[in-house]
Amino acid sequence: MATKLKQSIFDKRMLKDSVTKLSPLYLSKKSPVMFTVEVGFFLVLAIGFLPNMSLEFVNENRIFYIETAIILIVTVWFATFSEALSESQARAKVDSLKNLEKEVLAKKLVDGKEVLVKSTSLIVGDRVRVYAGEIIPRDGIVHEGKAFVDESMMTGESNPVFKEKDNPVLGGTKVANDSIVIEITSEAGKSFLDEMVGLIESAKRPKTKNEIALTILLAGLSIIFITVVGTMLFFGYYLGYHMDISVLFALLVALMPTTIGGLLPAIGVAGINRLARDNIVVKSGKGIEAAGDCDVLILDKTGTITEGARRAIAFVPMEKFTEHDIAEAAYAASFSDHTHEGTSIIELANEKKIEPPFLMEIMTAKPVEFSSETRLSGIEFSPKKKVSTTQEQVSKSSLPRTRVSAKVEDLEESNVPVKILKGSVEAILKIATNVNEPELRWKAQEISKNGGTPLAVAVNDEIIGLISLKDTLKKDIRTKLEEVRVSGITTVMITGDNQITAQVIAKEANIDQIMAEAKPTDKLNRVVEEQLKGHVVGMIGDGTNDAPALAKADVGLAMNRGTAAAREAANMVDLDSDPSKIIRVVKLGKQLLMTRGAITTFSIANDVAKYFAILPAMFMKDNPKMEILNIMQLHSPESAVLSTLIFNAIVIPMLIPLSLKGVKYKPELPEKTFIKNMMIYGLGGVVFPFAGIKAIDLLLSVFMR
Amino acid sequence: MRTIKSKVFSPAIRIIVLMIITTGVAYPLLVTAVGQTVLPSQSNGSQVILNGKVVGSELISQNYNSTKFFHSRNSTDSGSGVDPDITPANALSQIPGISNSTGIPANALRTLVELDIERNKETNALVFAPDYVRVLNINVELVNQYPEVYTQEITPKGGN
Amino acid sequence: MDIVILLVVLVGSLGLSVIFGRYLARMIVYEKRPLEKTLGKIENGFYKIIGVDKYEQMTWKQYFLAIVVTNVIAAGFLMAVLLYQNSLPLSPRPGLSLDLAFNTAASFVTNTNLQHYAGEQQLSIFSQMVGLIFMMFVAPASGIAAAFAFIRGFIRKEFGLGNFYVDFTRIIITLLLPISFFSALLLLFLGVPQTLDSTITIGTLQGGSQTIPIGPVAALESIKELGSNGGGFFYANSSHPFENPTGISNVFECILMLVIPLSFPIAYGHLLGKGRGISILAAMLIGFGVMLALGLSEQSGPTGLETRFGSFGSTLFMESSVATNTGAANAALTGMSPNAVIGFFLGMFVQAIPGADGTGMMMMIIFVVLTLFLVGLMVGKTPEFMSMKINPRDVKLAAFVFLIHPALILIPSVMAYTTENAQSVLGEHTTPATFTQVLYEYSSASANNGSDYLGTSANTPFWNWSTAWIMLLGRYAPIGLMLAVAGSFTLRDRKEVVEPIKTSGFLFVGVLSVMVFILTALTFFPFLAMGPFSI
Repeated sequence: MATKLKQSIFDKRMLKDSVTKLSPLYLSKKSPVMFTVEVGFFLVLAIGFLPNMSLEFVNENRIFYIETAIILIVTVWFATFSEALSESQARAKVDSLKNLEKEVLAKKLVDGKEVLVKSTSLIVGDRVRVYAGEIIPRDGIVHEGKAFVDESMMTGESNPVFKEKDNPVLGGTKVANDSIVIEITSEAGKSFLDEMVGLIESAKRPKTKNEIALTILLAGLSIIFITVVGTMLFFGYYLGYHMDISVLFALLVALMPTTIGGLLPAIGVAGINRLARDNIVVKSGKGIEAAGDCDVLILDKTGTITEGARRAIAFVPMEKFTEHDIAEAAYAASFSDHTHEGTSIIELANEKKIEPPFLMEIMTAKPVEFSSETRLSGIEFSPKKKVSTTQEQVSKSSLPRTRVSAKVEDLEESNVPVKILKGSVEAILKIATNVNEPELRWKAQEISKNGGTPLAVAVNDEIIGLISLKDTLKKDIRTKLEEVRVSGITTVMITGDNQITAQVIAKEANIDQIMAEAKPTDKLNRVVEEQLKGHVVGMIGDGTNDAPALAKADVGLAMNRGTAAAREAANMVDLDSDPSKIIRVVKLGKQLLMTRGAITTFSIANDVAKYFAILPAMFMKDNPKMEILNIMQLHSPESAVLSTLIFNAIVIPMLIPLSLKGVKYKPELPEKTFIKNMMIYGLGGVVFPFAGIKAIDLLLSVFMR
Repeated sequence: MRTIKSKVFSPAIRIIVLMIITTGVAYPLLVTAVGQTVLPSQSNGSQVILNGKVVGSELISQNYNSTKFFHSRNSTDSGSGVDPDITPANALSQIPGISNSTGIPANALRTLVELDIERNKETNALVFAPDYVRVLNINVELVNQYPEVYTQEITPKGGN
Repeated sequence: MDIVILLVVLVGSLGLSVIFGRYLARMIVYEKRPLEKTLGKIENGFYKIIGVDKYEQMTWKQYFLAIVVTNVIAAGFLMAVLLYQNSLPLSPRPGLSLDLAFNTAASFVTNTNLQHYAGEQQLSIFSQMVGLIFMMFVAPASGIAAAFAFIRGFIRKEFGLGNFYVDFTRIIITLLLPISFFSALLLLFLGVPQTLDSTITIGTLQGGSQTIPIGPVAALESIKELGSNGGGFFYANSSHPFENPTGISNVFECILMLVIPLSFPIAYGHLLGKGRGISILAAMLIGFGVMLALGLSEQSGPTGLETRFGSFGSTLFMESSVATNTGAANAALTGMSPNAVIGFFLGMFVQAIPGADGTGMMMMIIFVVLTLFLVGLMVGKTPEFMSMKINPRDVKLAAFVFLIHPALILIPSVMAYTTENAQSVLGEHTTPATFTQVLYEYSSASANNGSDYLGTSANTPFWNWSTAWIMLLGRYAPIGLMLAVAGSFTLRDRKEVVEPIKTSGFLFVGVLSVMVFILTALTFFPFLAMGPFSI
């Protein structure tokens, strides 16, 4: 932080900006508070330099006016500096983000040949071939071929979807098997980074609702203080006090909420910048603010709450078999299945230290590939050639023979080809009939109840048992969601899974509500429904299907790997495509609002001490009764005014780190946060300036002797 | 435009006329009627009668130039300018003077003062007012108890 | 003894506000009241004559326009009565000058009752009765009606703000009039006169003759206190024994002044949540407690005070009167201690502890909105009130309401000095004491309070015109702005969600009280230092 700050300080453009922003024209439009301070600077400077001004209201010596003027302009500069600093930080971040913007390579078909190109260079009408395991570069329609496409990251549907000619496919989805030729139908997305640059540049930056309201309130307070100080001049005069214009201006500047007035723009930009540090590109300031207000989060199950890849977690044998049996069969059926699920089955078997004795056969077996017609996969092998009996004896004696190995052996011996296959219960039932069907169905349902997906395994016509596959929760998601819940946010999980499975996962992950068996369009309905109830809704999405919901949601976070439509509809884009980041966005939004509130409260609370510093200085000479107000016992009226002004000025740079970093946010009841911040920034805001002004006064008194 | 205007003005005028009649005329007249029949004394200013003659309002102070009477506060000293009461301390401080001019023993005067304080306490349900002496009442009491002393004071003078 | 008086006033006014609070709540949402059938019939008769459809709802603009038009007509009537009272019946007196008539009409229609005249000398019985008593019903009824509409704005979406003519009729006929009538009888019993004669002439004890001004005092006195009016029948106001004859009447008048302002938070609690109502009541009472504590911290009088009230009875009455913006006085302001005067200023600056009938409640809600916005961001959410987001427009309107008050006090005070009008009344040499009087005059005018130091000495064109306009601006500008706030809230989506900061409970009461105090102190502290502090 410190080195970063140092770097930015020596950033020439930033320094130049901070000076350019001193222009009264700019300030009068952007920051009425700072504009007033600057007017004061010109006025006091004029009094200091114009020779022999012997007005009624000018009583101090020239050096005092020049000192005052310098402090005033430095105050303004501190404010413009803080804004320029946060802008320059954000600008630097944008540059680094531009390099980060991810592109996929696509195999474009040019005259029937595949040419590797960047996905961003594709235009509507281009055709690309996508192979199994590759990502579809952009939205389009299938031009040629058939394939299963894994759309889980877009739609939440965990089963691959079958696509053939003229079916639409989504950019960012993955071809699971075979290969297809796709005709691109959508434009490359506008670079949303450009939109973010607009948010950083002060000239174009639109104010958010809260910023506007706060600015109005600050302007209102400023007008009140201008009225107060202006009328004091007259009353003081008629009451026989020696009023001095510069002292009055000092009082005005001290009272006006210069701290928050000066730091307000910096806080806003810092919010954008902090999100950018997490590789989230913000397209509108409104989104961040809404994030703080967000009280309903609609989360996709797959990818956000769960890893999005199912793993085997248990083997469930049929009554006639043991766990060993089903594990051996599953191992065999998955041996040539290199998908995530297949590997996880082998891993589970290894974990249980189960390995089929007929490993040689398996290794040499012919793989049965998953096909769209059969929906099954596994292996097939013909009767083996006789091997040496000794070897067989060894294996037979070292391993207890399971029913499955016995069955395999029997089959082999009777010269029947062996097929070990796995697939959904329905698919397996089509080929294997030797099973107690009610038992199978009951066991499959038990697996579902626990949040798993059952896969049946058969050796030829006999079903051995089931594999329970389960999508695992993302690391830390439980704690993250617990924090969300503590902050008073309701979480809704959307999934294509059935009610039972969804409930189990929701319970495990700390989710409040579920929408099971949901279609993509349900998302939009839910967003609208919640908004009608007055909730501020945050959601993530990446598919074209999500675009309307993303646009409608108050906080829409699109994944960068998602479709262009989604990215355009959302008000933020996560370049890392990590959906669980929505939680961080909410946290940052809250921090942003808290920072504004805390510095506003601090700024106003400071005024109490400032009155006690300046009023005695103004009145004590002429009215000994004002002595009671002189609780701070400052060195002299001049030092009282100067130290108050200096305090007022240096509070701004002192709070720059807080404005940029944001007030610490802890997930807890709002009430608790409120009390804590009230103590720190409210009470602290009253006490701190008493100490600060007194300390500065002690320092000044050394020089002013 | 005309319809909007008449829609605003017509009910406003009517409601005002109605309220003038209700609150400005009927209400005060009704209170007056009830007051004059049920509470005639209070309604007409709590007049104090001595020997069949009105000698003032219990609630309004009078000027006394005779040293034989308890005196009210100077009119500009109080909030109303017609404060009918004085503090017990004030009353007690006047006793030696009155005793001198009238020959009434100071003790007797003190007793009268205390009695008046007690009476006023009752008027105020004991707790609702500080102790005070109602000047006209105590003076009337003096005249009642010592008529011979005050014969000269209470004869009407010509003119004022 | 003093503590008994204080307890009776507090328990009495709070006890009655529990009853009247529930009644107000029923009036606000048109629920069944006791004697509903009879009252309904009478009201329907009124509506028929007025020509309004009682079910017709008004927008905030229509409601505000109806208030203004009705008040202008009433003020015009009063002004005409005052100008031409010489040709009207019941002990005619010379008509008032145009500026004094304008000032008086503005003063009474705005519920201020600042008096630059001496009633018993300058007004006919007709003017006092048909002019002033009538207006003493119109002004609080308008304020209460505005508060009804304001509260309805927060009840629920599309509830509607109500119909001014209906509210106005119901408030006068079924709230103010019955209470005033019975209070008048009680006051009568305690010694307040009621006659159509303007004077009684009697022989004094020493044989002189005494002419005592008298009139329909009881009828005026009860609505004067109940309606937070404060304008005395007599120049001496409630210090006059005919307006406030005993310690009991003093306590009763205190209760009358406090009852409606304190009923409002209770009504609010019935309609919008018990905790919320009690919290507002608590914040009001804390502010009132500070005023009382200031007043009681120093002995007042005896000069300028009435013997039968003493320092305690005077301070209690005066603080209650100023706190409710009634402005009645049972002692001369000059007799009150500087600390007590600081308490008065506090009450007039805040205008909501508990403030006048209706408008005090509205002002407190404005403070709630400002407080929520100022500190509410600290919990990391856009501040909400009644589960509705506070938007820039609300903040603008609320800030404007808050801003108007110091502007209306300070700028005219400066003008009074620069135009030498302050000096011509109070002397060439300005002292903290005379500055206090000028500041007080405009504070009282802007807060629609009505108590003042200057009295008839301010019966000059400058003071009459300037205070009249300040009273009008200080009344209608905030009411208009507040109705605009309510008007926009009533259209807003109400959420089924919890507010980020609850507007109830100890924490909120504490924060609200501190914010009210700090905002007020920051605005006015220097002037209190130059004025009453330095006396």
